[in-house]
Amino acid sequence: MGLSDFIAANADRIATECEVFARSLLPAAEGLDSEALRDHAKEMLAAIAADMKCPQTPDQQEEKSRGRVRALAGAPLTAAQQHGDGRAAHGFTVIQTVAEFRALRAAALRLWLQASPLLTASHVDELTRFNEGVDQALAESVVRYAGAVARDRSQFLGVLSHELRTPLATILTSTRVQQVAAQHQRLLPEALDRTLRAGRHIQSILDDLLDYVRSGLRGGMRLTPGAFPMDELCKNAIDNLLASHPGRQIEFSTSGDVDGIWDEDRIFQAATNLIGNALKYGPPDLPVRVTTSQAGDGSSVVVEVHNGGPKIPPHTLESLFQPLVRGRGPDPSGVSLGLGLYVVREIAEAHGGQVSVESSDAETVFRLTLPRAGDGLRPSGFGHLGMN
Amino acid sequence: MADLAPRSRSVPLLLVVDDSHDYANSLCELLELTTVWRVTAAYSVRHAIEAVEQFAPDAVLLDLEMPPSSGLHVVDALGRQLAGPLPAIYVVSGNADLLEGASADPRVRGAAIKPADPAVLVRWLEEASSGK
Repeated sequence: MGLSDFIAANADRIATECEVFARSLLPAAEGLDSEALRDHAKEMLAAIAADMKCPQTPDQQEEKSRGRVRALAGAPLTAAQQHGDGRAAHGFTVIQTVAEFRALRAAALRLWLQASPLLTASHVDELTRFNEGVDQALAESVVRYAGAVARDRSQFLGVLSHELRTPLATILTSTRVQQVAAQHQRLLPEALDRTLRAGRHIQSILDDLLDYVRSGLRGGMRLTPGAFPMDELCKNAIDNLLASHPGRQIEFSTSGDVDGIWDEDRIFQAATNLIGNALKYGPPDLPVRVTTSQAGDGSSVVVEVHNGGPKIPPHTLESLFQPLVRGRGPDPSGVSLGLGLYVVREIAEAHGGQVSVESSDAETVFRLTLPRAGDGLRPSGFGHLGMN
Repeated sequence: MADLAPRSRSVPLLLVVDDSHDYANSLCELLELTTVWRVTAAYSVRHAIEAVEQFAPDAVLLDLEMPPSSGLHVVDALGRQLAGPLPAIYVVSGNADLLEGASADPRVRGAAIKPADPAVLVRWLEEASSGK
């Protein structure tokens, strides 16, 4: 059987091998189902097989080899282009995306050679056409991937600018208020408090950003374990957030023994991110509810953060903990850096714990579960773990 | 806030609308210290509409990015809700595209990048006072 016929007849088998390979591409592949892992693999194979059947002039072959095949204006996206978009959206690296085409090529040829071990002269031409087709698909995919990454980067910078702008505006305005008040021999402690809160807000944004960059550079998250009660830490985080959200209501309750050994600054950062997220996305007229409790067997402590509002669609839930994923608000102005929940997950995993989310028509609940004992601390996706 | 009611006040009233309490409150303090205007704040679109209905401010300084609303939707909402004419509307935003759209809207008297230069805000209020 010729290669193009073999690919057309065995696209599902080849796609299955692509799926197995894609599953190994962590962390992006984590939690993806079979369809998402394959992501147009069968369609790409069908397109390559069809292309191999089409007559091709030497000029056309030359153009293709130089990557000059141009899509017609208004033509729908090819399967390879959609694959590039999908991989960028799911956080695959460009190296992983390119590696998938190597795996696809290898799987198709290996299976074909197993079925048709005797090569003829016509097979050489088919092999050439096949490689051209794979390279064409790879080029289409990478171009789309690069475009998506560039757009994301541009949007990220825009959102970062937006997130820094408001606390910066507060600092500038409150400082001006203090200047004017000083000219009249007046002191305005509230203006000082606002300046301090805005500075801390900028610091928290930059901390999240630094953690994200470190995770990419494998720089490592340093943890400093110490004993403290989780309920007290959550109450402090709530007080801190209420100062900058005076119109909001946060209900708190605790049960059982919630003492443990964790990195207090990191857990404060995680609690602040979770509660701040609930304030941001929960309706302003509904309270946010925070609970701390011990897990059933007493070996873990659980922090739950509840907020009302519309149900988050299941496909959005999967990506909430990925970095640089846009917020869940209905409007583009509601976008956020998407680093807060990512950092929560990294902090949880560095402590040997986990964070999960459930959403129903009634409420959305984020659940941070941490082993109580310090020996649960272990290296996270940030790389090595420094223990001071 | 009874002294903000239109009939009982002797000075013009500005409503600052921004979902950042701290920024809105800072702006209120600064403009009260440096102008003759009374300044009050609303931290959501719904509260802004209620405040405009209740106090009939002479001017509104509006942040264009107020999730889940954004841009001139807030002005649209004010226009739908209010029986009378709109107050003088001035807008700020960190989003250049939103500002460009707002600048072209005849309902908007002025638009500036956030944080707006206090001198620009004072000039806007002087213009609003003089009815320009």
